[in-house]
Amino acid sequence: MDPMEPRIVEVPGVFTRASSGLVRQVSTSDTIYYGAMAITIAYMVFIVTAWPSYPGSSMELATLLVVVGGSLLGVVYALFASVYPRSGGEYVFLSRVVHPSVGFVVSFIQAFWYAFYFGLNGAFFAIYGLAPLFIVLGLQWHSSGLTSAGTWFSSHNGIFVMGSLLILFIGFMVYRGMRGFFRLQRWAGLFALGSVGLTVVLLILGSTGVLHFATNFNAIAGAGAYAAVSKAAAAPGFRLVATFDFMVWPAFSILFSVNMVSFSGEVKNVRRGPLIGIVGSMIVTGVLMILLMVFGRGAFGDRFLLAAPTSAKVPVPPFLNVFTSILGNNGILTILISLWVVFVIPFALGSNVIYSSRAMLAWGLDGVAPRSFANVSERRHTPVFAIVTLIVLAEIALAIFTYTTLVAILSGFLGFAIAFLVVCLAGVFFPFTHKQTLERSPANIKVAGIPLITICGVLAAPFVGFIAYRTAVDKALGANAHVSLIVNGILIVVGFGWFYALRWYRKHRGEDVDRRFKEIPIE
Amino acid sequence: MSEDPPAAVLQLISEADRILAESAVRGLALRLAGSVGVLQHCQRCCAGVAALGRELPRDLDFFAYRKQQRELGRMFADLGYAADPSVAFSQEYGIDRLIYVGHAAATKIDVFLDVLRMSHTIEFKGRLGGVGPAAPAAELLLSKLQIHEITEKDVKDIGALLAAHPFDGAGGARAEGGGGQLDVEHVLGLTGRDWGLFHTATTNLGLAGELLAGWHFAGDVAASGAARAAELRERIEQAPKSLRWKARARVGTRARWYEDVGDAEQQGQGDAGLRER
Repeated sequence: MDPMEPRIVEVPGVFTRASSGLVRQVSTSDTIYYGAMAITIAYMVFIVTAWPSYPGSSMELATLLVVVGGSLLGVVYALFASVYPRSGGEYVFLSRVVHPSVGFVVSFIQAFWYAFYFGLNGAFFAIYGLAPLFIVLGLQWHSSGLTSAGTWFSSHNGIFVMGSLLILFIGFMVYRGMRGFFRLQRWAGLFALGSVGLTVVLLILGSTGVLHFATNFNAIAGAGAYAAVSKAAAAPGFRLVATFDFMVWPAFSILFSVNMVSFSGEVKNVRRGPLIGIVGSMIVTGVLMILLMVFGRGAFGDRFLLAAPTSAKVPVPPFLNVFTSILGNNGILTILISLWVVFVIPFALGSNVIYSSRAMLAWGLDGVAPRSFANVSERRHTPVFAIVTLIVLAEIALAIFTYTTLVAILSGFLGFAIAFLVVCLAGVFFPFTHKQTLERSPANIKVAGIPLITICGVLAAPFVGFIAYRTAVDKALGANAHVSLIVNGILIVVGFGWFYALRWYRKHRGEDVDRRFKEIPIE
Repeated sequence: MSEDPPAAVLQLISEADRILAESAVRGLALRLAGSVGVLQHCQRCCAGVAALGRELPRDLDFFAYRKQQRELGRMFADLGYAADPSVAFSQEYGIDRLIYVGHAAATKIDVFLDVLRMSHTIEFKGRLGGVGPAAPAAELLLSKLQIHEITEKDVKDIGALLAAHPFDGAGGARAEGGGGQLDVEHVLGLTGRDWGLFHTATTNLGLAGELLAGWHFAGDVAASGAARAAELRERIEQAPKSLRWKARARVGTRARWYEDVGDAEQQGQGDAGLRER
């Protein structure tokens, strides 16, 4: 009989056959969409804008290196997800593999910074999505109303209002449940992919001389403006060190597909789903980013891209999507091109709030956070208290980002990089500290007799360590802003303090928190 | 187990009756499914199960409507059941199923909401309106035919259902209640739209026919079940098929046509530490 054919199976006991179980509902394609949205290709806008700060760097090579390093990190995450197919993020496996306090602190830091970006991504939506779209449309359609709207979207109040509305909308979507969120994400992902495809086509036409960016730009900025802008920048030769340094920018985007471990307990095929979802979305998005970089440079010219962010002669926001709209020189094309920013950033907020709320839920269930974090809505079955808490935190972060200069785009990246590094190191030692667990799990894959998780952990650790180092020392980023370093230090201290205080409190009440971390669910 | 099986089954059925009575009081559409559903569907089904020597069931399955989920949750809580944490936090991901544990009278209770999602998906929304404690025979049969890794117990349930229910033509749903005819048109409709279900169902019917034909100890029940399995298989094969069905049929078994069904207690245990709570 064909082994794929339906067949009679012998069962060891009554009603223990597999078909008594569950069919989880998060498909592999959902994990790819989710990973791609968490990566947020829209960040290409400020990745390209940051390029002039690293003279001689190759954006494409840096992105390629990040895809390779990120994939190694992604394999470590995916293998941990297959060993511990539970929702809650790094907290679940680090608390069981390393130490409960380490698992909690890493999760605590991550949840805090995801809440921070839940707010900041709201601002990015207005700054990089709405404002450029309306400003360019206003210019192309000669509408002062649209231009004024675009200018307002980039004002402090415009950023705060539009960011707040998006935070509330995404908070509501996540409250309604993941089924609806994934459905919406699928459609938005398809439109965004089409929009990226259209953008690449336009950039190819610009690179090959079919469309003329300089002519269109001069029509907006005045005769000779393109040459004047380009003249202001030098085109330095290739520098490998600068390329390494630049990696923090694509890394800030690409590494975040690992965020899907926040719901790995719900993935339909936990052996394959996380691996394909995490690594696949890194590769696909990385390739799209490289295409945008290569053809963007071809269409606009290196010197123009290097000079534009600081040039007073550029009358529009100096963003890749804006320049592509000018290249297309058509209002409808401008709207379609904007979709890979406007449709993607909302789901970046989604991944932020999903990670944090699921981590909080897991803490609440394990007793290392107030039980209210584990409360779910009777109607929607979602952690409503955690979601509301995150909305409040996001609004605070949005207000700080909008109205002060205390924080910048990459302010939270150091905290994430530390967490990624801990996961890498946990992956290196996992086969030796939890040999039996690994051997009984789907992650028991060896290459030349060495566990794959160890190999990937060893290779990914220097990469992630370098990224963490750069975020701590790179003055161009805002990652090492004084407040950022202080906050990360506080988070570590508060995290450990919180964990041990709650542990003491639970023990005082006769609850054995430690017992929960001894259970190892093996598939 | 220290308790003898018949007493345990009687207790299980008694518990099912208690739950059904409570659901009726609360105006909830709740119908027995699974093996107890087959057993309780009608007297002929019950006699068929006994004749085939089917192992005794140990848990309860129900079909219900999703729109009544909150009321169902309250009812089971009032009856002394606790929601199984392995799925309690998975509802938002689209798992249309509730699992209750913790009551002495039943090992486990599964409640499927609007749809049975296992090897294949069987929608039953709007089809629980008939009389009797159990879901319609067509739904009970489909819930068995959709199993990719079918067991001997499932084959006996299929045999009992087929032996107890002659086939009708159109409009069988109305005539079906109380152990009447099987709504074959409904079965044909589903298998004519879903090639995967068609393939699994016809294969299972073939296997069931072979096994039932050899179970002489079950007398007329097995013989009748085998004959109807063959007839149903033939009617399913000859029924009209949708374009989607035809397109999928061209791929055949080169691509997987069924869902992997995990073990609720092992795969994706909801959220961290749930098993201990």
